[in-house]
Amino acid sequence: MKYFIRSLIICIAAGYFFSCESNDNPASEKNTPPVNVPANKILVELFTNTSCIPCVEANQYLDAVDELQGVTNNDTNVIIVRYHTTLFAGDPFYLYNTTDNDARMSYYPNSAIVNPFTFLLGIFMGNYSSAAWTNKLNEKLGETRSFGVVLSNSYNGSSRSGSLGIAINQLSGNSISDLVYHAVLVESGIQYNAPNGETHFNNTMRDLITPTAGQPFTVNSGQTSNFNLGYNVASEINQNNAYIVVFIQRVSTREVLGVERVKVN
Amino acid sequence: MKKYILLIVIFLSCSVSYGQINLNVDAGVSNTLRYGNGYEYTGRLRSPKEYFENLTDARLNVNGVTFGLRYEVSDPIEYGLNFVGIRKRYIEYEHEIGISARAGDYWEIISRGLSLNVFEDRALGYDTGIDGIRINYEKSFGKKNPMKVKGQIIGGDINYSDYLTPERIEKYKIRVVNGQFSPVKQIVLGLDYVYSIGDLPEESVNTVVHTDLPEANFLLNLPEVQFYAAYSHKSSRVSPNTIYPAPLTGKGDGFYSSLAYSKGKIGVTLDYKNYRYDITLPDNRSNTRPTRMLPYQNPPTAQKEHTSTLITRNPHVVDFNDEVGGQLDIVYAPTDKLTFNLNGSIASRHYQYQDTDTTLLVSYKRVDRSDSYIPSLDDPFSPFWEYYLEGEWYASEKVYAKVAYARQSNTTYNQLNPLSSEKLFTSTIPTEFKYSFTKEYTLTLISEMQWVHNSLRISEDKDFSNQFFSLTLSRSPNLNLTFNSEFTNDDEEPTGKKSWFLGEVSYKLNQSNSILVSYGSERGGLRCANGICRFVKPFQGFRMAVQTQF
Repeated sequence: MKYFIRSLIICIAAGYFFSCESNDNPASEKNTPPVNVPANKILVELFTNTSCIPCVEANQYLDAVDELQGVTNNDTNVIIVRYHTTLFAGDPFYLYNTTDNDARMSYYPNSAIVNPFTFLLGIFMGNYSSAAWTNKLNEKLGETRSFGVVLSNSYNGSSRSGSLGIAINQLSGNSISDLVYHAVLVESGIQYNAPNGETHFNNTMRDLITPTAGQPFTVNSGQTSNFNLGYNVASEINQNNAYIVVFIQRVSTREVLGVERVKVN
Repeated sequence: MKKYILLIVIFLSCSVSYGQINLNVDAGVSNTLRYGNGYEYTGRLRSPKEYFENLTDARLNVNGVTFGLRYEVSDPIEYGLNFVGIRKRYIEYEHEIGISARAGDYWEIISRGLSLNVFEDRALGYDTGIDGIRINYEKSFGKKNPMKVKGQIIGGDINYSDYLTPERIEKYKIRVVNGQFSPVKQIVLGLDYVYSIGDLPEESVNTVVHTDLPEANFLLNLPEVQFYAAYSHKSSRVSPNTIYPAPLTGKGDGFYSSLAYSKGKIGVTLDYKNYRYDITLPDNRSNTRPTRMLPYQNPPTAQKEHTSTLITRNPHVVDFNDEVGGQLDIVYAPTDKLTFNLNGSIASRHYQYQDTDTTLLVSYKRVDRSDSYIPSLDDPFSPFWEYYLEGEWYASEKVYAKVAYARQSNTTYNQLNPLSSEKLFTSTIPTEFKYSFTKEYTLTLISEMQWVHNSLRISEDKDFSNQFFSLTLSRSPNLNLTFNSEFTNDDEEPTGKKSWFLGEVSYKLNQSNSILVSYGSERGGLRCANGICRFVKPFQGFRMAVQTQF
């Protein structure tokens, strides 16, 4: 019995000891679930404009994915962010936040002069073609991301402010020096009679909560970094249709290594 | 680099050692330096822009053997990927018996380009040049009415950098055999066969495409009438991969013909095009589709290529995968000093489509028509038409005038929201007046007025106008001073600007050496050449170009 109790104490002590492993990016901790679960969610970033006619088909396609119409093998795991550009003047979603839309246009070359312009996990997805896009999405849905992201959100609808706990775990691969994470506030279900005939706008980027170039961080394989991010939701945004998308990106290659989404309210 | 120098030295040594008796050496070098520094605009966002490009083309001919190379420093390049080193090099040999060979880099067009037309356009950052071997053979039989044959074999590699995403490089291994036969002087019959293996990067997967592309063409050349017709058929077989899981074969074809008549003071040309290289449903049209018309093809556009600044700002971009149409061009010169030009062109897609799915998903069905070989002006066909009238008058040795009128209509059909289709109408009046004060000094004034109606506007006002003025003072033969200005009252101009001003000085040191310097703002927009278009961002700053030849 004594032997058993001693063993138990040693085990508990060892557990405490190893759980105190140093973390390069300490941040205010929140209770986050374990993140060492392989993730196969994918991020589609679309550059569009309310006066762009070729964008209509691409937007319609992504709407069908977003509304889980069974376009891909797993529509639930496709996370979409749509940025609005300067291709044609007067796009109200571009004008709503010119700084953040400009930042993403600058980061992805030619995204302001050719719309629709689409990136799958940070890589140019090819011009819109429904059959090819479905296959490309399915291919990436079948792979596992090298980073896991777990989000825990706490939001106060009265004050329209919240706190987002972000846990990022590198599941595999070597250490990467130029990592950033982005937290993007997107809104769906926006009604607007656009010149190109679109009336319903989903996944529209409203705010880059993190700095426009992303929040730099470091993490090692097998390690978890935790962060806490405070945010506010502007009164113009329908908080019940708002989401926060968090994704990890390599600055130099633009490759997106992990992504997750959480509903604001 | 060392290898190339060594090779050239060995060749030169051989030539010198064996050609001491009749050594015939000819050399030429041309150099183009381009530098720009300023700002580029993305909407209202301004970002610094600098480019430095220097191209040195050298050519050495020793007893009929030509060695050539291009040393390029593009760091940073204006469009595309930076490059420092030997970009092009070749060895060429031509023998009097009619055979010639070129190994290395070259560009080529077969007939009018339906199956092969590779070229470089630096201004567009476009280059589909071949690195390989080209062997030509030409022979005439008979003396009075000679019968001619011409044969050509081409093989090599093309690395085509997509201009939108320059790091995306499509690689093609291409093999061509081409033959021409002229039984009599007035008739030329051509046959060629192109085979290629394409390696197209798609995400992390490469798509392999095997393409067969035979072409037949015919030319009848009579004193007053010329008739040309060409047909090519493309068959692209896409090897299965994760993006195209099932074997996919894309079949398409293209037909082009041109009938020209000229007699005395009148010349008439009628062009017809029917390009169907990749007709597909609206939700599958894509410039990166592996079954599309390939980048080494470039058939005639069969529409007028304008020189007016404002007319070229709204070009019709030819869709070689799905377009039918043509143009009629009439030139009438009642006197040596007076010329009139009338041009009309029309084009559209072949078919319209219906969405047969009532849910959010889209499922298109083609509405077939028996007369798809003629264009339609109905909106679902995204039609384009224009007419152009021009009068040119050399009034005297001192006075020259040109006046034109162009009316264009371009519809971009919105398949999902037809009422929100884009209809763009433009009327443009370009004029040019030239007056020579003396034999040395000439003043040139270009004035262009344009009225635009765009149905796709946010504001209620769908109309706006543009004006362009250019004044050039020339001192023959070496100096040009130019001042350009452009104005618009377009409230939806993406940059928010209403005016652009540019000053330019060009000076010729002699016939083969010149320098050009400009400073100011440029409006940018769509720029096209030979049916290839790219969007050029507005620019403000300094540009310089120095050209020298030896």
